[in-house]
Order: sequence, then C-alpha cells, then structure tokens
Amino acid sequence: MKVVATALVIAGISAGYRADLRAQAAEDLVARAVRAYGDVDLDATVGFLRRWFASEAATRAPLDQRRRALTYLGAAEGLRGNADSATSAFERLVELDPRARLDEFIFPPEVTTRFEAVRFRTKVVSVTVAAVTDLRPDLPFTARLLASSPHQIRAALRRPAGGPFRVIYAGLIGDSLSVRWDGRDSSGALVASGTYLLEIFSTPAGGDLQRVVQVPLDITALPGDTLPAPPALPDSLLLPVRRGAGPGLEALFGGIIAGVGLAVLPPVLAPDADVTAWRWAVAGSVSLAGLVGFLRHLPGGTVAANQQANEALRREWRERAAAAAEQNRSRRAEATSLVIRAGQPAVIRLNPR
Amino acid sequence: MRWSGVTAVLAGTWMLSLPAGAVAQRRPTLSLGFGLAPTWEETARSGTVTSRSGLLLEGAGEVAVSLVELSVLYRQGGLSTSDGSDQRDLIEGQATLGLRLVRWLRIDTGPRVRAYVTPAGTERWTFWEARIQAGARVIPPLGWAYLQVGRVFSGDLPGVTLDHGRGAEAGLEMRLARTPVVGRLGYWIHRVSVGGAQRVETLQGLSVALNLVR
Repeated sequence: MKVVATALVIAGISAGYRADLRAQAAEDLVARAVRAYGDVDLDATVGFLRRWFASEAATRAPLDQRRRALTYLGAAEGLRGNADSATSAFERLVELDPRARLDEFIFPPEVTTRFEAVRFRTKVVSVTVAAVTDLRPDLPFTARLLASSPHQIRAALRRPAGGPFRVIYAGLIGDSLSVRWDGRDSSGALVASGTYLLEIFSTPAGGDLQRVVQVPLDITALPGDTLPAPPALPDSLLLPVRRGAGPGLEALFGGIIAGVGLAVLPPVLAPDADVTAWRWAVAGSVSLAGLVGFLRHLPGGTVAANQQANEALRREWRERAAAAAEQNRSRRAEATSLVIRAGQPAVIRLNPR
Repeated sequence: MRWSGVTAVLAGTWMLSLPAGAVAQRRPTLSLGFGLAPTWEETARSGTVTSRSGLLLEGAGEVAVSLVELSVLYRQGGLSTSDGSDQRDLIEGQATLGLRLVRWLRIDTGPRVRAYVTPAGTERWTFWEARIQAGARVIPPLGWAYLQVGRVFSGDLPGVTLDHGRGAEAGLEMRLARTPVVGRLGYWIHRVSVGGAQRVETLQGLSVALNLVR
C-alpha cells in the first residue's frame, strides 16, 4: 500500500514538473528563434516560431512578445522567399500594433521595405479605452485611436443585434485621434443599460472597407442623484410675532422719567429762581409721547410686519421644497449618468487576402 | 476735589455700562440744524434780582463715529427786562466730546463760552463742564426722549471766582418718517454762582429746532 502511495506522489510531482517544463520550453521558443535568426538559421527560426504560435503560451503572451515573434517570423519567411507568409505575418503584426516599426540595425532593407509596404496598405487602428468610465457631462467616454497609416475611418456605436445608432466620427485619421461619446443616441437620449459595440471601420482612400475594430461596451444606466429637500426653516430665522414688553415699557418709563425730570430738576437746580412754566409744555409733550409709544407697542400685541415677513419666508421655503420635489420626480424618471465598462478590442478583417 | 469726583462718576458709569454692551460700529452720522430758543435770564446780584427775556437764534451740529460723538452749539440774541430799561446781548457757544457707552447713555465733556455784551463792554466767561445724558425711544423708532444733567467743574471768569455751576436739559426729538429731518423740542436751564454767591446767573429756555441728519 505504501509503495502505491509513494508511486502516486512521485508520478504527480513528475507530471507537474513536466507541465512546467513544457510551458518554459514554449516561452523559450521565441528566444531560441531569435538566436537562430542571428545564426542565419531561417528554417529553425520559422520552426520555433510556428511551434510557439501553436502553443497556449502564444495566446496569453504579452504584447511585446507577440510583436517580437511576428517580426522575426515575417523577416525569416521573407528571407526564405515565402513572400505571402511574410506579408501575412507583417499584416498580423500591424493589426496587433499599428505603431510597430522594424529596427533597421537588425533587419536588412528587403525586410524593412516589405514591412513598410505592408504597413502602408494595411489600414487598421488600435483602440485604447479606459476599462471603466463614469460618464458625466464633463467626462465623456473617450477612445484613443492610433492609425497604421493615414486612411478613412468611421466610428459608430450599435447594439450587437442592430445597426449603428450613433456615428461619433467619420473622416480621415492621420497618426492618432481621440473620439468622444456623450452616451447618447442620435435622438439625444442617454442609452439604456445593456451591451453595445464601439466599431471603428477602416477604409483605404478609394478602396473597400478593409477592417473593423470592435470594442464591446457593457453599459449600466444610473438614475440621477436626487436633490435634498431644503432643511426645515429654523425658528431663529422667524421674527417674533408677539411684541415683547421692552419697547412699550421703554417708551412709557422714558417719557415719564423725562417728564418728571423736567418738572423736578429746574426747581432743584435753581431753588430761588423764577422757573418758567413753559417747561410744563415740554414735560407734557415728552410724557404724552411716551404714553403714545406705550399704547402703540402694548406688550403681547401682534407685530403685523413680522407676521408678514415670516409668512413670506415660509412661502419661499414651501416653493423651494416643491421645486426640489418636482425636479426629483423628473430625475428619477430618466437616467442621468452611465457607467461604461470596456472589453478587449478585436480586429475583424472584412476582405481577407 | 471737583475733578476727582467727576472723574470717579464718569469712570464708574463707564464700568457699569460696559457689560450691557457698547454701541460698537455704528454708522457714522452727521447732523446739522437750526432753531429758536425763547430764553429767560435771571441775575441775582447782592440781593437784587434782574429778569430779562428774549429770543435767541440757535445753530447746532454733530458728528458721530462709532462710540464717539462730537457736537457744537451756538446761541445768540438780545435779552431785555420787561420794561426795556436793561438790555444786553447774549452769545453762547458750546463744544462737547461725548462717548456713547450704550444706546441709552452718553457722557460728554467740553467748554461752554458765554459772552454778555452791553454798551459798557463785553464780559466773557468760559466754563468746563461734564454731563451725562440718558435717553429712551418713546415712539419707536422715530421718537426719542432725553434727560441730561451737567456740572461745571472749572471756569475762567475774569475778575470773579466761580463758586459752582450746574445745568439740566430734557426734551423730545422726533424724526419725520422717511425723511432725514428731526424736530426737537427741549427745555434747558443753567445756573452759575460766582464771587461767593455775590452774583448768580440763571439762564433757562426752550429750544425748538430742526435738524438734518445723514
């Protein structure tokens, strides 16, 4: 029993080891092909690279390694006299990276010339978009396009099962271009949640449609933020409606004290003088004014002006609350922002050679 | 002694008033006005009393910036006995520097210059006075009643010595609604004793004036 278990463990370890070795060997194939190209062993170069492209490693390899593999494959096939194979490899290279260039210190002129010719007639763009865009009026969805060579493009959006509903650009692209989309269809309404495709059609001048780059977009429409209701009117903003005792009593006692002062002070200050009786007129006027002021400001009375001011304040608050409620109703009814998640771009050849 | 008493009263009033809140950062105001002052004068000289009366013209101005109020007053006119046998002109000018401690309380001090003009010559008296004035809004916000008492604490009277002097004033100021015009009706009295009570001058009058306030 122990013998069987030990054998199984050893078999498992060796199987894993062999898988690692295979993966490592596949990754080494590109490096071995480059060394073989340096040794001018073109057959070996092509052999290593075709084995690499057939492996799983090629599908998950980084862009740099795929670009390197296609460059050496195209160069080796061209030097071996396989023009079609070389052209095909270079076309795939341009589709992979329209900005790819061959190093003239490494590759001979017949290779670089062939590549430039292929690049010039291969009309394609690469598309770079943010993985997630929170679309707002000040932040539209933006796609950065890099062209292999100047050509005509048309950028449009469509449902996977429908025709284009919005063309966001149609015209010439030289080197690079940024196209923006505000998340709306041709009628100006924000699109509903769902899956969409951003397509960039590349057409050579005077030629047929050549390639389409498709970017899948997963769009989620979000309802608009609602406005908060205005805060309740604080009591501190309301004026007192009932009159306090202060103003009325100040008027009454102010008038009385001034009147009494007029009556009492002159005889006190000038006891032996003939004080004029005209001061009584002034004392009476002051006292009467105080009494009038008291009656006009009786404590507890209603202050009409304050009442009106408070009512105006409350009316304004009710209007603001109603306006906010109305706006919230319309905001809830329609989406006001989108979240756009972009997938990996894919190149589709429409007239494969 | 007089100086210290007045200073103590003013300082005490100031300190008592402070907690009630100073009248800070009031809008600067300028007031100019004129009026009439029916005036009665009584001169008691060695037991002989002479009464004169007349109508004085009055002009006044005031500038108030924050707590500080600077005012001037000028009165001039002729006074005569009822039978016209004794007549003299009275010219009086007054300048005060006031401090409004709270809305209803003001203290002020300043000189009062008085000249008696007779055919025989002109007699000029200068007094330094301190006053305290309290006020109340009697018809808010247009009517204002005031009561003021004052004391002479120093004087420059050629040929005689000042015994004492004091005065009082009270009245009513009413602003005409939605205008810069303020009407004033007041009564004032001022009494000065000089030369060991050999001569006592009592001056009292009404003040009916119109002021323009900006």
